[in-house]
Amino acid sequence: METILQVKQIEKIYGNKGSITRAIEDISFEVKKGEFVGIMGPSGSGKTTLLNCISTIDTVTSGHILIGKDDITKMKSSQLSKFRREQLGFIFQDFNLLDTLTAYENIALPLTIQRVNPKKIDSRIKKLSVQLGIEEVLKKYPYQMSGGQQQRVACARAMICHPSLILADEPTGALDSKASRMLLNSFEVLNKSLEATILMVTHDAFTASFAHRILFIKDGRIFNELVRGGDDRKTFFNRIIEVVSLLGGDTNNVL
Amino acid sequence: MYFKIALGNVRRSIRDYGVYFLTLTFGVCLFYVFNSIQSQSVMLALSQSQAKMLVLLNNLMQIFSVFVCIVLGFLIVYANNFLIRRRKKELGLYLVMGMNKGTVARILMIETVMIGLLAFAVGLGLGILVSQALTVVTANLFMVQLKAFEFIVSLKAILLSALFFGGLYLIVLIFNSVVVSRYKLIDLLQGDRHNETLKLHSIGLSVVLFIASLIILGCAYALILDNGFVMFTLEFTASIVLGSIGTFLFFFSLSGFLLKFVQSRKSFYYRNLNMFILRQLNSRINSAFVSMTVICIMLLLTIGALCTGLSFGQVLAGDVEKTSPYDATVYVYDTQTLGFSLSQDYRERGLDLDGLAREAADLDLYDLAVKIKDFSSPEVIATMQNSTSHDVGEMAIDFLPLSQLNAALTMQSKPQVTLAENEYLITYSMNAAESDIFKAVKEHRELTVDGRTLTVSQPAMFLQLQNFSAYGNFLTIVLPDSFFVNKIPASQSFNVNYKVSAEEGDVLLNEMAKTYGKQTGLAYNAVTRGEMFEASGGMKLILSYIAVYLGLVFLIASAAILALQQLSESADNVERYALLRKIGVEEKMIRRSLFTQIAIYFLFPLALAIVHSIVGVSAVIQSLVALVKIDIGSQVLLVGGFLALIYGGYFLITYSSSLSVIRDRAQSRRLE
Repeated sequence: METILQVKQIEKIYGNKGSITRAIEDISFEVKKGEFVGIMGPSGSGKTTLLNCISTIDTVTSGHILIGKDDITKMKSSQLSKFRREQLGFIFQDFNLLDTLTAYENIALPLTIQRVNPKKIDSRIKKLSVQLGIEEVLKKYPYQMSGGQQQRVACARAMICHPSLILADEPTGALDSKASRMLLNSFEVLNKSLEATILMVTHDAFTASFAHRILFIKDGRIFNELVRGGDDRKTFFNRIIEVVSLLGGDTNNVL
Repeated sequence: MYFKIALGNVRRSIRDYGVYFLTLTFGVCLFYVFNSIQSQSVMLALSQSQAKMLVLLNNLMQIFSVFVCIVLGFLIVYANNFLIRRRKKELGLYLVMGMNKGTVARILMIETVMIGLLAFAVGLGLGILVSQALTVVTANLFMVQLKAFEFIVSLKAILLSALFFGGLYLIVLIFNSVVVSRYKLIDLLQGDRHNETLKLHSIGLSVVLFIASLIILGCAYALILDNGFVMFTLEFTASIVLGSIGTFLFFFSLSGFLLKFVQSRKSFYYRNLNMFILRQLNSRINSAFVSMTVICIMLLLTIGALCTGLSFGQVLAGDVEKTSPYDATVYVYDTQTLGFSLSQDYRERGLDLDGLAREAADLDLYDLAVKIKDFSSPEVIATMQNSTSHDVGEMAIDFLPLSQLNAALTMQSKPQVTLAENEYLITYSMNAAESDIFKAVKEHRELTVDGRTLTVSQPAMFLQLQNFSAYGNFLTIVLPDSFFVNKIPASQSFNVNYKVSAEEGDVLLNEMAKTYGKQTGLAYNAVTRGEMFEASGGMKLILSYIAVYLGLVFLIASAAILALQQLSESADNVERYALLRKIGVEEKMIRRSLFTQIAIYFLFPLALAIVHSIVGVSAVIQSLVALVKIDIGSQVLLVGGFLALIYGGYFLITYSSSLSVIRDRAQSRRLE
């Protein structure tokens, strides 16, 4: 299997001489094409920093991040935005849809900024929206949709350009359990039928149990790794809970 | 302690305060400049009548200043409200920390006063400098030499400015504390989270409304163009009302229409950020159309005030060198009993005309029983009819003997002309009949006088025959002298060029005319070029200064409102731009999108205002056209310059501050 993401010994330090915060101490891992990887960890463990570094929104202090064959730690800012729009898809906790645009237009946005022929836009959106079950909300504005629908529209927006990697930051954080389940089902659709590679940060064990493999981070280091293997989701969920309890006393944070 | 916080705040939010500060400074500067006119050093060089004019102007300025202050007052309150809204969270934090509302209000007060004092000082300094330059302009308009340049600071104007702006600030302070006391803590702290609820109306409806607004505007334009700029008539009122409604509807439906229109061109709509820009506009115009309408109308007032004020000044004042081509003209009325030559009559009565005149020549106009309707086209008569209650068509055409024309030409240093016995020549200096006159010459229009038929072949001559306050020669036909034998002129006058100095000549001539009037009992009028200069300078001065004063205030007010609005929009849009950046939109594209949005906001009211003013100003010109030839070219340039400088300046400041607003937030977020 082709390797999509390689994180090599990255380190991220905030602050100056006086007060140093080591958000990431030494993290290395790989994600293969078609994988669905979860990252878990308590607050302040560095998981959002890690995601920001991978998503090129932030830079690492040392180490390398390779997406496909490109080392994003060596790119200039103009290259980075090109890279982001062509290789990465983003899904955020608070959906981050543009409230002035309809669902359809929100999904079209990544295509328009890549100057995709307008004639091709329509068929691509139609096809994807059927797969994600959002074809009836395409004409609506974000405030006319439920949270679950908004997040699935955000999925479609992340997926529309067929990025090499989809980065999801607490995607179910603002959803109720029913909407979460529908969204995670959509993730499985993306992952299985569209062969999307997904890297998802969460601290919810239920959400994490949909992933194939979970990296646990604590204090800027990888603390544990769980692979789902042949387990069904329920068994995997219980295994996750065990690790979470090991991670420290602060289960409040992870559940 | 509070002072320290306030100072820190001012320093930190210098960018937010930038537009506010600039506007205040401009306001103070203008206020000082136009209220210090009476104290300017040019006063020392003016004659009594000119000085009187300047005092009148000064009094007028004070009246207008009250009005200006009200406009600026609204602006300041608006700006302040905007600044507070921007800082809700910060104010909420103060309250959470346990400050009471009174203290928060006091911090705001200190900030406002600091900015106000600074703006006042800078504005005053600027004003004092500009007023020195204005002195030179004033001297120029009055055509006087500044004997010695003196740097003058008007204490009275400073006091007046302090009084007005102090009062204004008091109102703002009261307003501020009311605003602060009304906010709830939770609203302050969560101020950011409230998204503006979108009042999206049906896009189909917008299209209908947009077309309706165009039709209404068209009606308003037609009304005013057909009926001319005549105040207080039904048509005029109707066109103003329709125009306002049309403007309102135009902005109400504009974005919806644009959206619909562009959406139908898919290849444009789905390219780059066009979709985003249009949606942004649509979401904002829904809430901004009222201010767009107000700004459009204010810009119309600006352009209108500047254009018409300046051209009126020019029209009323005329171009003195051209409208008064001689040193003086002496008119004498009801001269049927008189001999054939007015200047000869002067001499015969022992008045020493030759003692002061280098040249003096009679200019008599004859009525040869040819009516205007016999010669001019109906259109010309209709145009002229607008400006008089007499029946223009029935009026007699003025005829001038060739010899007198040549004498006049010689005095104006122009080459003489000759005419064949069956030939006539047309002179004019008003453009009402110009096209018809050209046509007459081209088609060799025939004219019958005393049973003899004449024709024209020489090109018509643009000529002011006598000194007058404006171009006054509608149509004067020159015939060979043989037509005038034994005829009595309908009106008599003579033109003089002095051999003595102008001042001396004016005094002598006025004396002479007075004596003559006494001796003959005839009504008379001596129009000297000197008088015309003085009167014209004063007129020009008053009208142009008032126009510039009001025009600039309106311009600044509308530009500042737009700027503040756009800045607050940008602050609200930070999240949206952050998202665009995350999904990989390049900085360049974001900059272009921001630029386009702000440009559209600045340009649309301006564009409509320009169309409005073209129609309005042409209506004004049309009403005046019969009287004078108006050249508004220079005014247009001047107005264009003001617009480009001030409006363009505000636009650039808005753009660059907006850019830093959205960039700043992005960076600070990265550091979180």
